[in-house]
Amino acid sequence: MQQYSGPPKNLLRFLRWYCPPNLCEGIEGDLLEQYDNDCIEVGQKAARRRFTWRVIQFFRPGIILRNKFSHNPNQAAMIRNYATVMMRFLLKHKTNSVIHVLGLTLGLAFTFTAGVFVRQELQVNQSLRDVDRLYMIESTMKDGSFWYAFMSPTAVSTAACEEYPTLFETRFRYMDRMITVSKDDQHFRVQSIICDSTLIPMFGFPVLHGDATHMFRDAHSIMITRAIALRYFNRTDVVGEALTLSSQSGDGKQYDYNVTAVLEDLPRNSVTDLVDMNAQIFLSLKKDDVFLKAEPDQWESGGTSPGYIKLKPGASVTDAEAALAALMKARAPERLQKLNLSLSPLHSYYLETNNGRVKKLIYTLSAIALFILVLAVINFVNITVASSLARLREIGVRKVIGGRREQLVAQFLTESVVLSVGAFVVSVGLYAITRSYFGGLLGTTLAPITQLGFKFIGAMFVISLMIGIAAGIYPAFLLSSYTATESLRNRLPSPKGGGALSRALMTLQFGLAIGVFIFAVIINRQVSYFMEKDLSYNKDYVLTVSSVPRRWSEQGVRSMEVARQQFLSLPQVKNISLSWEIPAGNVGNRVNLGRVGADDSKTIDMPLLMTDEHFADTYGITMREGIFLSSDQQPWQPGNMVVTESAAKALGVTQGDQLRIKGDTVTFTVTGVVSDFHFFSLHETVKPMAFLHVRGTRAFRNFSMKLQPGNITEAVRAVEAKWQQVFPDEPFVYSFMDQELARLYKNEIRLKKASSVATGLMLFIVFTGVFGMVSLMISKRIKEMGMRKVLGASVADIVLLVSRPYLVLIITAFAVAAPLVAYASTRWLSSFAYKVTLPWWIFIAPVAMTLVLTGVLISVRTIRTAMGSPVRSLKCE
Amino acid sequence: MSKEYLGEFEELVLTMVGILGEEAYGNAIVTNIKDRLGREVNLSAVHVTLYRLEDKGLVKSGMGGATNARGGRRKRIFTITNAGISLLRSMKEARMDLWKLIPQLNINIA
Repeated sequence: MQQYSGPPKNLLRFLRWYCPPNLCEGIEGDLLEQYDNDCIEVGQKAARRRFTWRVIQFFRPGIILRNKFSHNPNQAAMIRNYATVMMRFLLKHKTNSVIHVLGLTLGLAFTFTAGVFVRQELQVNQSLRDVDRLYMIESTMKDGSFWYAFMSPTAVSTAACEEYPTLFETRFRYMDRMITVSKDDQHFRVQSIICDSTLIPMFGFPVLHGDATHMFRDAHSIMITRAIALRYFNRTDVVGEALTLSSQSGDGKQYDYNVTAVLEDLPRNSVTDLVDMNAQIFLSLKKDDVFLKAEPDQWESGGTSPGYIKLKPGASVTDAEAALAALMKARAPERLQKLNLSLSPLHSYYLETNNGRVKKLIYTLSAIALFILVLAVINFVNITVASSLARLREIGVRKVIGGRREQLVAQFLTESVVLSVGAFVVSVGLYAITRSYFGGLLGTTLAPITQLGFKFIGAMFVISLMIGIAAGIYPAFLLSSYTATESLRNRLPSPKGGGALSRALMTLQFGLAIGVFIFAVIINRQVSYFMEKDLSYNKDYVLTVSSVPRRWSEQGVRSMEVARQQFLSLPQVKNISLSWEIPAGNVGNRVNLGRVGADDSKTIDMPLLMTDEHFADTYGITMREGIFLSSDQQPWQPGNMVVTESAAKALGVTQGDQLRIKGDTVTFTVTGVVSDFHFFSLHETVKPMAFLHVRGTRAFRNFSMKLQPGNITEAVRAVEAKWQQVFPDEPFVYSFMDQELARLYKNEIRLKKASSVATGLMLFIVFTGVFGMVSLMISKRIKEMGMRKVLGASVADIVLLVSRPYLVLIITAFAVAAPLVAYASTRWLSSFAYKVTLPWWIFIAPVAMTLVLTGVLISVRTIRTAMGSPVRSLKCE
Repeated sequence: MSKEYLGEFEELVLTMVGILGEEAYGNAIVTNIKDRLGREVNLSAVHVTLYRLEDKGLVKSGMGGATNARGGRRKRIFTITNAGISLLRSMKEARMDLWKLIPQLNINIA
């Protein structure tokens, strides 16, 4: 005999793993015996091969399935029977099956969509390099007056990095510019930023082509994103190519810039995409007199800009803030001394900024998704419990032939899990179909399924498994608790017991649905109030063109006035105004104004708008007294100023009085007072404002064109044609005031749409649930109906009898939900300065609608049974 | 209840268990089928069939004595039960009954 080395040990281990222990010895013995024989006959190598093959052959159902079930050989058949019974039951009760699956599917699809959205919002900024050490420098006014929090002194961060090298690692600042970028005959206005060269090393944005470490080689270097490269060159590898940028210094000159790097399209972040600007072109932050006239690191220029700073590992935020405060005290010029600086962590900045508006939206959406899931689960529980009568016999038979309770629980749980997994699969499909619609609704693009990643889909799958268990667990334990004798007699032990729970659950359902319904109505009302409220100016038919060439000089203003006349010659254009601002919340300058002669402490901080004399006419703003900056009789004088009514009152001035800016000697003459109007969003009250003429400030951005009512498309086309004549090198970028306003209320409009969809879904789920419950109840009470009719009940009596409990449920639900909604909506509305009132009918109308719809639904379902001949129904069973 | 039915391979294995008596275990059945019928059968198939026959109550099994061969593993010895014998017999008789009906055909062939 050859040297015995034995068969492969691993294979024996494998055999022992899958083989039932009681059979293992015999099988192993046979295998070893054959192996020994083979060793003698064909040699050890071949014997080992054959042994391997035989072990694999033993890995077959006939062996494996004998594992722990060996005492119960019919297990496989039993499981098959479970499936058969389940399918039979589902097909027999088609309505209820559809309600089960549809409710779960809709709920899961909504959750899936909301989940994708929430995940995308949570991921903003998370991909930035070392995001835990990145901070935004935020500023507030020491006296509490208004200041853009993201604007901080430009010079402070550089000084901080130089003087406190142990605390700060590096910094990044930028100024945003809209620049007309041309190549050959392509002209577009592109959002650009003039920024520090630390953009790539500090935030780690991915670079597609080019050298990111030396991206700003000279003053004429630019970086662009992939989207811009594709737009101008139709390819991405464009390092070394040139683009022509139009200067803003007023000389109307154009400069060629060389592309040094192409960036991958940037993920959403609070650096290049702060306040939704989404910058595409990056220029060097150096004084060049083309786009930047002041040295950014000079304190004296007093410039402010968004600033970001990176702390050293381990440096504390408190120390860093103290360092910044010390720097400000020592170095900042007087006009910046009134600012308090603080550091806001960038990883949560996006969620927390603007009073945590994004966070609130995320919470609201998640709550709605949760509510919808709860409704779907309640439908499932109610219908399963209510229809259990039909399965009592099955339960009885299973128990009699030896089914243990755990087996029954497992059977019912599996059923609900299988259903919810099925619903999950359908809901993923539903997501794929409705993705673009909901993306538009939420004002973002929702990623396609393939980009969601395994983890997310896995998590959603686990959630749907848990939903299945949550929905199935109560029915499973309830149904399996009946004793065999009771079940076989087809009699429920306590018919009222399940009834109370199901009533409570339905009250919860109605409460949630009605609550969301009322809230949606309130949100809708508030949003339409935003859009329809009299803003004290006329926004209708106002076309704003933001791509006005920035020739910011005296000749520039004059050439714009010539251009204005050319547009005015169009019959469709009623009036035109050249200005920096349009009344959509964005203001360029703020000043502290006071009466000449009055104390510095009596000055008032207010926005200073730069417009021409046609602004009031174009926007239909009423003059209270005087003229708007100039008129035919009174030509414009430098120093002419207009203030709003509230400003005139606060400053105590009338037409002809003199005003001055705090800390300055220049004086202005009030030529007129206009009525107050809503320049800012309705989150805020009207505030005092002042106007100066663009001729004096020599800066402007927009043409506002009041069009004649009528064919607007035609009018826009005419204006565009004229534009190409007047400014052949400038793109035509326009929007309507309505659209600009809609942008102001972006979050509210999102919430409005989401809550409307949610209301529809929730009502649908609740009504299908009611429909299912009523159907089941009627099928159980056919005989009773017959008796009642014989005893003289009318059809109406019967319908009323069936619907009464539901009407009581709705009223109860309403009584609980209404105060909660009233509280929540008052809190929500408190963030707006101008808000709708909450009249009583806002609460009553939704509940009345729900009552009527439920009544109709129940009548439709009941009436056939109620109309049927009692002879037939009495014979039933 | 309809009569218990046996597949061809099941019948073969059951017969072999009957033939081998005290020596009926997996490997012996495989080698015997090969020796007597020249047919190569799979050890795992024989095992699965034996267990199935045991489930049906046609054979019963017990562990044999310890040996030094087979890596020290005992054999699982199968013995045919009365039910097994009577089933084999009734199957054989049923087949014989059918067989008797064939001669007319035989004549034609001959």
